[in-house]
Order: sequence, then structure tokens, then C-alpha cells
Amino acid sequence: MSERGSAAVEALLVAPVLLVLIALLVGGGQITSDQAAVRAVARESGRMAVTASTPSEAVELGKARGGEVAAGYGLDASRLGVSINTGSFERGSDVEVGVTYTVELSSLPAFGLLPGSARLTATHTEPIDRYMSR
Amino acid sequence: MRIEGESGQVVPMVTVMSLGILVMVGLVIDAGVMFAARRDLQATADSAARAGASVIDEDAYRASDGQDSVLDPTGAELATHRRLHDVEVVKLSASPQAVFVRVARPQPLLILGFLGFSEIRVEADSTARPRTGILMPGS
Repeated sequence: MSERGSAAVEALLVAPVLLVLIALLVGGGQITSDQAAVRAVARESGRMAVTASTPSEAVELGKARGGEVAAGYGLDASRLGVSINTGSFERGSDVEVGVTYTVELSSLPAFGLLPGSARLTATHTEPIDRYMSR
Repeated sequence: MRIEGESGQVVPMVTVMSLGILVMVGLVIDAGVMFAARRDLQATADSAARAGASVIDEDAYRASDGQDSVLDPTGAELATHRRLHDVEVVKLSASPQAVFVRVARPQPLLILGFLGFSEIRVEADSTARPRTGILMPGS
């Protein structure tokens, strides 16, 4: 029996497997990078929030800063959620920031091979300066 | 030219390649997880150290008519420690000049666990110093 072309056929059969693995590689890299971005958003948002004079201003400033950082990292604002818990907002207390971001795996640069979505989260706690003037 | 017995030559090659790519996927994802954990820990260390560095010695500050902003080391260590949850505090020391903290946390690995690296220890340290009367960035 001739084996002519058998290698090509085999290659055709295993190519999808390789493609999925490479998609995983690319997708994993993208999620990793987005996770770092989400953490940066939480941290920067918190650092901005504690400079405010009032709780409502803290939420406003923190969210605005979070949006700026997210844009800088190329995140999609419509899938980003920033929640800011100002607590008592007394000097010396903490402000807590929670950030969530949904990654649509099909929109990753992974040839659309990965299904579903992943939810990335990060939290950050930032102290309010004990002697800040307001 | 035809070489006999070439059947099945692609499958072994691809199997080897797949294993190689799988290890790469593991490295990418787990390295990412590790770097993310490192950033998270650094943020925790920084904010805890900053909290400590805002506990200045009020008596010294008033006695010097606002010239000496030195730390109350005991209060600074307490304020720092209070913000370190779920981490191992490797070192925490405060002097009148600065707060230093080093924290660590074991980070489980997702993919490389199959190769025997089930977790990795990430560490971060941070130093914060007291400053008063900051009116402009960099002043």
C-alpha cells in the first residue's frame, strides 16, 4: 500500500489540536495581562479616593482614576466594574476598592477558539492619612 | 524518492510538540499568576507601610513647633500590622524615621502543579517614611 500523502493527512488531523494549544497560550497570556491591569485599576483607584474631602468625592475621584488606568491598559470600560467602600472615611481609616472585569474569551486574539468568559477581580485597601487636611 | 516506513511520522512529532506547548501554556499562565500575586502583595505591603508611616509622634511634632515629623515606632508598627491579613509578616520594624515591612504568601500554581511545582512563595517589601506639609508633588 502506498503511503504517499499519509503525512499530510496526519498533519491535517493533528493541526486542530495544535491550534487549540496555541489558542490556550495566547488566551492565557491575554488573561494574565488583563489581570495585572485589573489590579492596577484597584490600586490606583484607592490611592486617588483617599485624597478626597468627602465620601462621595472619594467615590467619584476613585472611579474616574480607575477608568483612566483601565483605558491606559486597553480594558473595555463597559465590562469594568469599580466599587468603592469608603467606610467611616475618618482620618486613619481605610478605603476599600473592588474591581471586576469580564473577559470574553471568544474576543481574545485566540482565533475565537475558546468559549465562554472569565471574570477577573482585584481588591485594594488604602489607608486615609491620619493628618490630612480636608 | 520514497522512504519505507514513514507512516505515523507526524503523530509522534506532534505529541512531542504538544507536550512542549503545554509546558509553555503552563509557564505563561503560572508566571502570570505569580506576577499578579507579586503585584497584589506589593500593593498590600505598600499601603500597610504607608498606614504605619502616618503615625507620627505628636508630642515630638508639637514640641518642635512642627519641625520634627518623626514616627511613633510602636504605633506605626501596630497600624502597619493591622492591615496585613492573610499574609506572613516576615519582618516588620519601625524607627522614628521609617517603617519597613516584608511580607510573603504561598501562591498555588495552576498548570505547573502537574510537573511537581505545586506552589511558589512570593515576597514583597516596602519602606515608608513620614512627610508633612506636602503641598506640591515632589516637594
